[in-house]
Amino acid sequence: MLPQAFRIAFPAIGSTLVGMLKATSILSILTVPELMRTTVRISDYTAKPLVFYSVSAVIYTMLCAALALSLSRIERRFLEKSRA
Amino acid sequence: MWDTSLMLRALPDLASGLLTTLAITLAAFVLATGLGLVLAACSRSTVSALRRGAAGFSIFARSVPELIAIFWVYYCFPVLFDLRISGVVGGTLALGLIGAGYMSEIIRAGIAAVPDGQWQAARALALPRFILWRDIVLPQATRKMLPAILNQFTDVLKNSTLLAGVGVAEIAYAAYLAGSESYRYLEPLTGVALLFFIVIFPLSMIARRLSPRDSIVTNSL
Repeated sequence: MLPQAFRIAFPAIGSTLVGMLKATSILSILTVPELMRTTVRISDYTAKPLVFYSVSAVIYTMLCAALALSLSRIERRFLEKSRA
Repeated sequence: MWDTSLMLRALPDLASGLLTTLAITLAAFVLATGLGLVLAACSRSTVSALRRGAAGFSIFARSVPELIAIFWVYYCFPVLFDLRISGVVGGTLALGLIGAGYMSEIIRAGIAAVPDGQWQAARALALPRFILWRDIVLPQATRKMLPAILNQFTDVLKNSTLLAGVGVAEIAYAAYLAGSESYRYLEPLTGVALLFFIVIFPLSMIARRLSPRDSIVTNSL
């Protein structure tokens, strides 16, 4: 049961994971010192919001893209296995 | 612990915050739909630069966290374009741009889900392009897109609370204010959660009813 269900649910689990990664930025409101919070701090300190918000947007994009890419690789491997 | 009267006292403020939230959501959603249509059209274009640009924007918009986008537009647009924008305008713009990435994928998928036979039949009848799109492709595609579009709408609705971060007086901000007045956050924040449930639960029920997979399940029961 579980291996089959997991294979079917995998894409949805993956996109939830990417969503979770994006949602971590919201923790900055509770002053958790993660990427977003640090970005706000540095940008306020240096008064250069353009540079730092852009850089952290790019960092988030690369993280999400890397995650999404590896997830789709794993997904493809599942498909090959189920076909075999 | 729990004081219902505090929540009732916060409720009028929360309700007016909810109106602002709904207005922001609607504006961002309209922007997202319009821009999403343009992006979806670009992704079907024969010009490869347009296709790549649309795909790139869509990937970027969908992987940037909403909060970063809101702060980015709010702080960077004034620097980039030398204009002052309010939190409402900046935040709505940010949510609209991100939503456009999602909407373009939804629209693209909806059009791709129209069976090949429909296109071939229209071509065999030599229907003009306008008729093909208006009478054959779009009605079928829209029906397939509707559940996803409703989900996207609820996402925008939920994400609009992030505009509190740039000082927009929407529902979450109203809850913080009510909380900081009484030093009790439990009741106003719970009130926000309840209001969101009241708005979003019916929407997700409609989306579920519209989704074709689910209708098969209910038929078989």
